[in-house]
Amino acid sequence: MGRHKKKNKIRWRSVFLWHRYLGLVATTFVLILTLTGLVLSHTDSLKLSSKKVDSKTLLGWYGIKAPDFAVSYRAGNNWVSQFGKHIYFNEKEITGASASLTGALIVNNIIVVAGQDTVFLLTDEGEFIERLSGVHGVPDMIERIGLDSTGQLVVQAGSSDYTVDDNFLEWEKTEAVNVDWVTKETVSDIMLAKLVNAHRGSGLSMERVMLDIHSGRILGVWGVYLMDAIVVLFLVLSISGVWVWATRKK
Amino acid sequence: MKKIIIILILVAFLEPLNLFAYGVYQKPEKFIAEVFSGNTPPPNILWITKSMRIDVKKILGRDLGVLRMRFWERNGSTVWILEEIGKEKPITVGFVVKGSIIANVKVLIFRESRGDEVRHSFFLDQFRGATLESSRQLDRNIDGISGATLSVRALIKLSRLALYLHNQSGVDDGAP
Repeated sequence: MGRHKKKNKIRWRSVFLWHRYLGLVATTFVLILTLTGLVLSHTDSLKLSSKKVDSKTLLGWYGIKAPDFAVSYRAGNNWVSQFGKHIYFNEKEITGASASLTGALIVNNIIVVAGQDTVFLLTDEGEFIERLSGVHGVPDMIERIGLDSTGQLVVQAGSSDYTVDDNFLEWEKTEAVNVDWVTKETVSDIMLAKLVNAHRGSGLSMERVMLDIHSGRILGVWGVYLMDAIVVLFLVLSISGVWVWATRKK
Repeated sequence: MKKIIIILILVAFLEPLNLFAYGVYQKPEKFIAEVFSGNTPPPNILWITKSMRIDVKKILGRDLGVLRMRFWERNGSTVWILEEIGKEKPITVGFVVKGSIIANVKVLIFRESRGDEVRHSFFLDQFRGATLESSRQLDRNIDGISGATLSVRALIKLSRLALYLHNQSGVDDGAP
Protein backbone atom coordinates (compact mmCIF):
# COMPACT_ATOMS: atom_id res chain seq x y z
CA MET A 1 0.00 0.00 0.00
CA GLY A 2 1.43 3.36 -0.95
CA ARG A 3 2.44 5.76 1.78
CA HIS A 4 -0.20 8.28 0.69
CA LYS A 5 -2.99 5.73 0.76
CA LYS A 6 -1.87 4.41 4.15
CA LYS A 7 -1.88 7.95 5.58
CA ASN A 8 -5.41 8.54 4.30
CA LYS A 9 -6.58 5.26 5.76
CA ILE A 10 -5.19 6.19 9.18
CA ARG A 11 -6.80 9.61 9.01
CA TRP A 12 -10.17 8.15 8.02
CA ARG A 13 -9.96 5.62 10.83
CA SER A 14 -9.08 8.33 13.38
CA VAL A 15 -11.99 10.48 12.34
CA PHE A 16 -14.27 7.47 12.32
CA LEU A 17 -13.22 6.47 15.84
CA TRP A 18 -13.53 10.00 17.15
CA HIS A 19 -16.95 10.24 15.53
CA ARG A 20 -17.99 7.01 17.19
CA TYR A 21 -16.80 7.93 20.67
CA LEU A 22 -18.12 11.48 20.52
CA GLY A 23 -21.40 10.02 19.31
CA LEU A 24 -21.61 7.83 22.38
CA VAL A 25 -20.95 10.82 24.60
CA ALA A 26 -23.58 12.83 22.76
CA THR A 27 -26.27 10.14 23.00
CA THR A 28 -27.27 11.07 26.54
CA PHE A 29 -27.64 14.71 25.65
CA VAL A 30 -29.52 13.90 22.46
CA LEU A 31 -32.01 11.94 24.53
CA ILE A 32 -32.36 14.76 27.07
CA LEU A 33 -32.79 17.43 24.42
CA THR A 34 -35.21 15.50 22.23
CA LEU A 35 -37.39 14.36 25.11
CA THR A 36 -37.56 17.76 26.80
CA GLY A 37 -37.99 19.44 23.42
CA LEU A 38 -40.87 17.13 22.57
CA VAL A 39 -42.56 17.82 25.89
CA LEU A 40 -42.04 21.58 25.57
CA SER A 41 -43.60 21.58 22.10
CA HIS A 42 -46.83 20.53 23.77
CA THR A 43 -46.67 22.79 26.79
CA ASP A 44 -50.22 24.07 26.35
CA SER A 45 -51.92 20.75 25.83
CA LEU A 46 -49.98 19.19 28.69
CA LYS A 47 -50.70 22.31 30.81
CA LEU A 48 -47.14 22.28 32.07
CA SER A 49 -47.24 25.86 33.26
CA SER A 50 -50.03 25.09 35.70
CA LYS A 51 -48.69 21.75 36.91
CA LYS A 52 -46.61 22.36 40.01
CA VAL A 53 -43.65 20.42 41.31
CA ASP A 54 -43.95 19.12 44.85
CA SER A 55 -40.72 17.13 45.04
CA LYS A 56 -38.79 18.33 48.09
CA THR A 57 -35.51 17.54 46.36
CA LEU A 58 -36.30 19.60 43.31
CA LEU A 59 -37.81 22.46 45.31
CA GLY A 60 -34.77 22.44 47.56
CA TRP A 61 -32.53 22.52 44.46
CA TYR A 62 -34.32 25.68 43.36
CA GLY A 63 -34.02 27.15 46.82
CA ILE A 64 -37.76 27.23 47.35
CA LYS A 65 -38.23 27.04 51.07
CA ALA A 66 -41.36 27.44 53.06
CA PRO A 67 -41.42 30.45 55.40
CA ASP A 68 -41.23 29.81 59.12
CA PHE A 69 -44.55 31.36 60.02
CA ALA A 70 -47.88 32.41 58.58
CA VAL A 71 -49.87 35.62 59.00
CA SER A 72 -53.34 34.33 59.72
CA TYR A 73 -56.81 35.57 60.46
CA ARG A 74 -59.68 33.49 61.65
CA ALA A 75 -62.92 33.75 59.64
CA GLY A 76 -65.52 31.70 61.46
CA ASN A 77 -64.31 28.11 61.45
CA ASN A 78 -61.80 28.80 58.72
CA TRP A 79 -58.35 30.29 58.49
CA VAL A 80 -57.10 32.78 55.95
CA SER A 81 -53.32 32.90 55.91
CA GLN A 82 -50.53 34.60 54.08
CA PHE A 83 -47.66 32.18 53.69
CA GLY A 84 -44.75 33.48 51.71
CA LYS A 85 -46.23 35.42 48.82
CA HIS A 86 -49.41 33.37 48.64
CA ILE A 87 -52.71 33.64 50.41
CA TYR A 88 -54.57 30.54 51.51
CA PHE A 89 -58.09 29.72 52.58
CA ASN A 90 -57.25 26.99 55.06
CA GLU A 91 -54.72 25.03 52.99
CA LYS A 92 -56.16 25.94 49.61
CA GLU A 93 -54.40 28.73 47.75
CA ILE A 94 -56.56 31.67 46.74
CA THR A 95 -55.58 31.93 43.08
CA GLY A 96 -54.74 35.43 41.97
CA ALA A 97 -54.13 36.65 45.49
CA SER A 98 -50.63 37.82 46.28
CA ALA A 99 -48.87 39.18 49.31
CA SER A 100 -49.92 41.69 51.95
CA LEU A 101 -52.94 40.11 53.56
CA THR A 102 -54.50 42.80 55.73
CA GLY A 103 -57.42 40.95 57.22
CA ALA A 104 -60.22 38.45 56.91
CA LEU A 105 -63.65 38.18 58.50
CA ILE A 106 -67.20 37.02 57.90
CA VAL A 107 -69.99 39.42 57.07
CA ASN A 108 -73.45 38.32 55.96
CA ASN A 109 -72.15 34.74 55.59
CA ILE A 110 -69.53 35.92 53.12
CA ILE A 111 -65.86 35.59 53.91
CA VAL A 112 -64.09 38.85 53.13
CA VAL A 113 -60.35 38.60 52.51
CA ALA A 114 -58.54 41.91 52.15
CA GLY A 115 -55.18 42.59 50.53
CA GLN A 116 -53.68 46.04 50.15
CA ASP A 117 -55.78 46.98 47.14
CA THR A 118 -57.95 43.96 46.52
CA VAL A 119 -60.85 42.37 48.34
CA PHE A 120 -61.84 38.74 47.75
CA LEU A 121 -65.30 37.48 48.55
CA LEU A 122 -65.57 33.78 49.30
CA THR A 123 -68.27 31.41 50.40
CA ASP A 124 -67.73 29.62 53.70
CA GLU A 125 -66.47 26.68 51.66
CA GLY A 126 -63.82 28.81 50.04
CA GLU A 127 -65.52 29.20 46.67
CA PHE A 128 -64.69 32.44 44.92
CA ILE A 129 -67.65 34.79 44.71
CA GLU A 130 -65.86 37.80 43.30
CA ARG A 131 -62.52 39.57 43.23
CA LEU A 132 -62.84 43.31 43.84
CA SER A 133 -60.26 45.93 43.00
CA GLY A 134 -60.03 49.61 42.17
CA VAL A 135 -62.39 49.31 39.22
CA HIS A 136 -65.07 48.19 41.73
CA GLY A 137 -64.36 51.09 44.04
CA VAL A 138 -62.08 49.27 46.49
CA PRO A 139 -59.80 51.85 48.14
CA ASP A 140 -56.01 51.63 47.76
CA MET A 141 -53.57 50.87 50.56
CA ILE A 142 -55.92 48.98 52.83
CA GLU A 143 -54.38 48.71 56.27
CA ARG A 144 -57.00 46.84 58.25
CA ILE A 145 -60.63 45.73 58.20
CA GLY A 146 -63.26 45.26 60.83
CA LEU A 147 -66.93 45.41 61.68
CA ASP A 148 -68.71 48.38 63.15
CA SER A 149 -71.33 48.18 65.88
CA THR A 150 -74.07 47.42 63.30
CA GLY A 151 -72.05 44.53 61.86
CA GLN A 152 -71.13 46.41 58.69
CA LEU A 153 -67.74 45.97 57.05
CA VAL A 154 -65.32 48.83 57.57
CA VAL A 155 -62.07 49.14 55.64
CA GLN A 156 -59.32 51.50 56.73
CA ALA A 157 -57.17 52.74 53.86
CA GLY A 158 -54.74 55.56 54.42
CA SER A 159 -56.32 57.95 56.86
CA SER A 160 -59.90 57.19 55.83
CA ASP A 161 -62.48 54.58 56.62
CA TYR A 162 -64.77 53.11 54.03
CA THR A 163 -67.91 51.01 54.10
CA VAL A 164 -69.67 49.07 51.37
CA ASP A 165 -73.31 48.07 50.89
CA ASP A 166 -74.52 44.54 51.60
CA ASN A 167 -73.96 43.49 47.98
CA PHE A 168 -70.43 44.92 47.89
CA LEU A 169 -71.38 47.20 45.00
CA GLU A 170 -70.87 50.73 46.24
CA TRP A 171 -68.04 51.88 48.48
CA GLU A 172 -68.13 55.17 50.33
CA LYS A 173 -66.12 57.05 52.92
CA THR A 174 -67.42 56.98 56.44
CA GLU A 175 -66.65 58.22 59.93
CA ALA A 176 -66.60 54.84 61.60
CA VAL A 177 -66.73 54.51 65.37
CA ASN A 178 -66.47 51.52 67.67
CA VAL A 179 -64.94 49.34 64.99
CA ASP A 180 -63.88 45.89 66.01
CA TRP A 181 -60.74 45.57 63.89
CA VAL A 182 -59.60 42.05 63.09
CA THR A 183 -56.31 40.88 64.57
CA LYS A 184 -53.81 38.27 63.51
CA GLU A 185 -53.89 34.91 65.22
CA THR A 186 -51.52 31.99 65.41
CA VAL A 187 -52.48 28.86 63.51
CA SER A 188 -52.09 25.42 64.99
CA ASP A 189 -49.05 23.30 64.14
CA ILE A 190 -51.28 21.03 62.08
CA MET A 191 -52.52 23.93 59.96
CA LEU A 192 -48.98 25.24 59.63
CA ALA A 193 -47.84 21.84 58.34
CA LYS A 194 -50.68 21.92 55.80
CA LEU A 195 -49.63 25.38 54.68
CA VAL A 196 -46.04 24.23 54.25
CA ASN A 197 -47.20 21.37 52.02
CA ALA A 198 -49.47 23.64 50.02
CA HIS A 199 -46.72 26.24 49.65
CA ARG A 200 -44.21 23.76 48.33
CA GLY A 201 -46.62 22.76 45.60
CA SER A 202 -47.34 26.29 44.40
CA GLY A 203 -44.01 27.79 43.43
CA LEU A 204 -42.35 25.80 40.67
CA SER A 205 -44.01 24.76 37.44
CA MET A 206 -43.17 21.70 35.40
CA GLU A 207 -42.65 23.97 32.41
CA ARG A 208 -39.92 25.85 34.23
CA VAL A 209 -38.14 22.62 35.12
CA MET A 210 -38.38 21.30 31.55
CA LEU A 211 -37.04 24.55 30.15
CA ASP A 212 -34.16 24.54 32.58
CA ILE A 213 -33.22 20.96 31.79
CA HIS A 214 -33.46 21.67 28.07
CA SER A 215 -31.20 24.71 28.31
CA GLY A 216 -28.86 23.29 30.94
CA ARG A 217 -29.81 26.09 33.28
CA ILE A 218 -30.82 23.58 35.91
CA LEU A 219 -27.11 23.27 36.64
CA GLY A 220 -26.69 27.01 36.77
CA VAL A 221 -24.46 28.98 34.43
CA TRP A 222 -22.06 26.05 34.03
CA GLY A 223 -24.98 23.96 32.82
CA VAL A 224 -25.54 26.50 30.07
CA TYR A 225 -21.84 26.34 29.11
CA LEU A 226 -22.09 22.58 29.11
CA MET A 227 -25.00 22.76 26.67
CA ASP A 228 -22.99 25.16 24.53
CA ALA A 229 -20.18 22.60 24.48
CA ILE A 230 -22.68 19.89 23.50
CA VAL A 231 -23.89 22.05 20.65
CA VAL A 232 -20.29 22.35 19.43
CA LEU A 233 -20.02 18.58 19.83
CA PHE A 234 -23.11 18.12 17.64
CA LEU A 235 -21.56 20.36 15.03
CA VAL A 236 -18.35 18.37 15.09
CA LEU A 237 -20.34 15.14 14.81
CA SER A 238 -22.30 16.46 11.86
CA ILE A 239 -19.13 17.47 10.02
CA SER A 240 -17.23 14.30 10.90
CA GLY A 241 -20.25 12.18 10.00
CA VAL A 242 -20.50 13.75 6.56
CA TRP A 243 -16.74 13.44 6.09
CA VAL A 244 -16.77 9.75 7.05
CA TRP A 245 -19.69 9.10 4.70
CA ALA A 246 -18.11 11.02 1.85
CA THR A 247 -14.69 9.40 2.15
CA ARG A 248 -16.14 5.96 2.68
CA LYS A 249 -17.96 6.29 -0.64
CA LYS A 250 -14.63 6.82 -2.31
CA MET B 1 -32.29 74.12 18.46
CA LYS B 2 -33.26 75.30 21.95
CA LYS B 3 -36.63 73.60 21.60
CA ILE B 4 -34.99 70.33 20.68
CA ILE B 5 -32.69 70.50 23.69
CA ILE B 6 -35.61 71.28 26.01
CA ILE B 7 -37.59 68.35 24.60
CA LEU B 8 -34.62 66.01 25.01
CA ILE B 9 -34.14 67.12 28.61
CA LEU B 10 -37.83 66.64 29.33
CA VAL B 11 -37.78 63.16 27.83
CA ALA B 12 -34.70 62.29 29.87
CA PHE B 13 -36.54 63.28 33.06
CA LEU B 14 -39.88 61.83 32.09
CA GLU B 15 -38.63 58.39 31.10
CA PRO B 16 -37.46 57.36 34.57
CA LEU B 17 -40.73 58.62 36.08
CA ASN B 18 -42.44 55.92 34.02
CA LEU B 19 -45.53 58.07 33.51
CA PHE B 20 -47.01 55.40 31.34
CA ALA B 21 -47.41 52.28 33.45
CA TYR B 22 -46.14 49.24 31.73
CA GLY B 23 -49.00 47.75 29.68
CA VAL B 24 -51.77 49.85 31.27
CA TYR B 25 -53.37 51.47 28.26
CA GLN B 26 -56.44 52.62 30.11
CA LYS B 27 -57.61 52.01 33.65
CA PRO B 28 -60.82 49.96 33.68
CA GLU B 29 -62.72 52.59 35.66
CA LYS B 30 -61.73 55.22 33.09
CA PHE B 31 -62.93 52.96 30.26
CA ILE B 32 -66.29 52.54 31.97
CA ALA B 33 -66.58 56.27 32.61
CA GLU B 34 -65.68 56.97 28.99
CA VAL B 35 -68.39 54.61 27.72
CA PHE B 36 -71.00 56.37 29.85
CA SER B 37 -69.67 59.86 29.16
CA GLY B 38 -68.51 60.36 32.75
CA ASN B 39 -71.86 59.35 34.25
CA THR B 40 -71.14 55.78 35.33
CA PRO B 41 -74.26 53.95 36.44
CA PRO B 42 -74.19 51.70 39.52
CA PRO B 43 -72.97 48.19 38.75
CA ASN B 44 -75.20 45.16 38.31
CA ILE B 45 -74.54 41.59 39.30
CA LEU B 46 -74.96 38.47 37.19
CA TRP B 47 -74.91 35.29 39.24
CA ILE B 48 -73.37 32.36 37.42
CA THR B 49 -75.70 29.39 37.59
CA LYS B 50 -74.66 25.76 37.19
CA SER B 51 -75.77 25.63 33.58
CA MET B 52 -73.95 28.87 32.84
CA ARG B 53 -70.81 27.45 34.37
CA ILE B 54 -70.94 24.60 31.87
CA ASP B 55 -71.35 27.02 28.96
CA VAL B 56 -68.60 29.29 30.23
CA LYS B 57 -66.27 26.32 30.58
CA LYS B 58 -66.91 25.47 26.93
CA ILE B 59 -66.10 29.04 25.95
CA LEU B 60 -63.01 29.56 28.09
CA GLY B 61 -61.78 26.00 28.32
CA ARG B 62 -61.69 26.43 32.10
CA ASP B 63 -63.95 27.31 34.98
CA LEU B 64 -64.79 30.99 35.27
CA GLY B 65 -63.58 30.80 38.86
CA VAL B 66 -66.14 33.19 40.32
CA LEU B 67 -69.77 32.85 41.29
CA ARG B 68 -70.86 36.25 40.05
CA MET B 69 -69.88 38.80 37.41
CA ARG B 70 -70.25 42.54 37.64
CA PHE B 71 -71.35 44.69 34.74
CA TRP B 72 -72.58 48.17 34.02
CA GLU B 73 -75.66 48.88 31.93
CA ARG B 74 -77.54 51.77 30.42
CA ASN B 75 -80.05 51.89 27.56
CA GLY B 76 -79.51 48.26 26.69
CA SER B 77 -75.72 48.53 26.45
CA THR B 78 -73.66 46.48 28.85
CA VAL B 79 -70.03 46.99 29.74
CA TRP B 80 -67.86 44.10 30.91
CA ILE B 81 -64.31 44.12 32.24
CA LEU B 82 -62.93 40.65 31.63
CA GLU B 83 -59.55 38.98 32.04
CA GLU B 84 -57.94 35.99 30.43
CA ILE B 85 -54.42 34.67 30.58
CA GLY B 86 -52.48 34.96 27.33
CA LYS B 87 -49.38 32.90 27.92
CA GLU B 88 -48.71 33.44 31.60
CA LYS B 89 -50.24 36.76 32.65
CA PRO B 90 -53.83 38.03 32.43
CA ILE B 91 -54.94 40.47 29.75
CA THR B 92 -57.65 42.89 30.91
CA VAL B 93 -60.15 43.81 28.22
CA GLY B 94 -63.17 46.10 28.22
CA PHE B 95 -66.23 45.20 26.12
CA VAL B 96 -69.35 47.13 25.23
CA VAL B 97 -72.19 44.96 24.01
CA LYS B 98 -75.44 46.28 22.56
CA GLY B 99 -78.14 44.41 20.73
CA SER B 100 -76.12 41.21 21.31
CA ILE B 101 -73.37 42.69 19.16
CA ILE B 102 -69.92 43.78 20.24
CA ALA B 103 -70.07 47.54 19.89
CA ASN B 104 -66.62 48.26 21.26
CA VAL B 105 -63.63 46.38 22.59
CA LYS B 106 -60.41 47.70 24.09
CA VAL B 107 -57.33 46.08 25.61
CA LEU B 108 -56.96 47.93 28.90
CA ILE B 109 -54.03 46.20 30.58
CA PHE B 110 -51.49 43.94 28.89
CA ARG B 111 -49.03 42.17 31.17
CA GLU B 112 -47.20 39.77 28.89
CA SER B 113 -43.77 40.53 27.52
CA ARG B 114 -44.89 40.03 23.92
CA GLY B 115 -48.02 39.76 21.82
CA ASP B 116 -49.43 43.19 22.60
CA GLU B 117 -50.19 43.75 18.93
CA VAL B 118 -53.69 42.61 19.86
CA ARG B 119 -54.38 46.03 21.36
CA HIS B 120 -54.22 47.77 18.01
CA SER B 121 -57.34 48.74 16.12
CA PHE B 122 -56.30 46.82 13.00
CA PHE B 123 -56.86 43.66 15.04
CA LEU B 124 -59.67 44.71 17.38
CA ASP B 125 -61.81 46.11 14.55
CA GLN B 126 -62.47 42.49 13.56
CA PHE B 127 -64.52 42.05 16.73
CA ARG B 128 -66.75 45.06 16.30
CA GLY B 129 -70.13 43.92 15.05
CA ALA B 130 -69.49 40.29 16.03
CA THR B 131 -72.31 38.20 17.46
CA LEU B 132 -72.49 34.84 19.13
CA GLU B 133 -73.89 31.89 17.28
CA SER B 134 -75.85 29.10 18.93
CA SER B 135 -72.65 27.06 19.00
CA ARG B 136 -71.19 29.77 21.31
CA GLN B 137 -68.69 30.63 18.58
CA LEU B 138 -68.29 34.05 17.01
CA ASP B 139 -70.10 34.57 13.74
CA ARG B 140 -66.82 35.25 11.97
CA ASN B 141 -63.20 34.15 11.67
CA ILE B 142 -60.67 36.35 13.35
CA ASP B 143 -57.35 36.72 11.56
CA GLY B 144 -54.54 36.00 13.97
CA ILE B 145 -51.24 37.79 14.46
CA SER B 146 -47.99 35.95 14.00
CA GLY B 147 -46.15 35.74 17.30
CA ALA B 148 -49.26 36.60 19.31
CA THR B 149 -51.25 33.41 18.99
CA LEU B 150 -52.03 33.02 22.66
CA SER B 151 -53.03 36.67 23.05
CA VAL B 152 -55.30 36.37 20.01
CA ARG B 153 -56.84 33.24 21.45
CA ALA B 154 -57.47 35.02 24.75
CA LEU B 155 -59.22 37.92 22.99
CA ILE B 156 -61.45 35.56 21.04
CA LYS B 157 -62.44 33.71 24.21
CA LEU B 158 -63.21 36.94 26.01
CA SER B 159 -65.31 38.21 23.11
CA ARG B 160 -67.40 35.09 23.19
CA LEU B 161 -67.69 35.37 26.94
CA ALA B 162 -68.78 39.00 26.83
CA LEU B 163 -71.51 38.22 24.30
CA TYR B 164 -72.64 35.19 26.27
CA LEU B 165 -72.80 37.08 29.55
CA HIS B 166 -74.69 39.92 27.90
CA ASN B 167 -77.24 37.46 26.57
CA GLN B 168 -77.60 35.95 30.04
CA SER B 169 -77.84 39.29 31.82
CA GLY B 170 -81.50 39.77 31.04
CA VAL B 171 -80.87 43.29 29.77
CA ASP B 172 -83.50 44.41 27.28
CA ASP B 173 -81.44 45.65 24.37
CA GLY B 174 -84.07 45.41 21.71
CA ALA B 175 -82.33 42.47 20.06
CA PRO B 176 -84.67 39.92 18.49
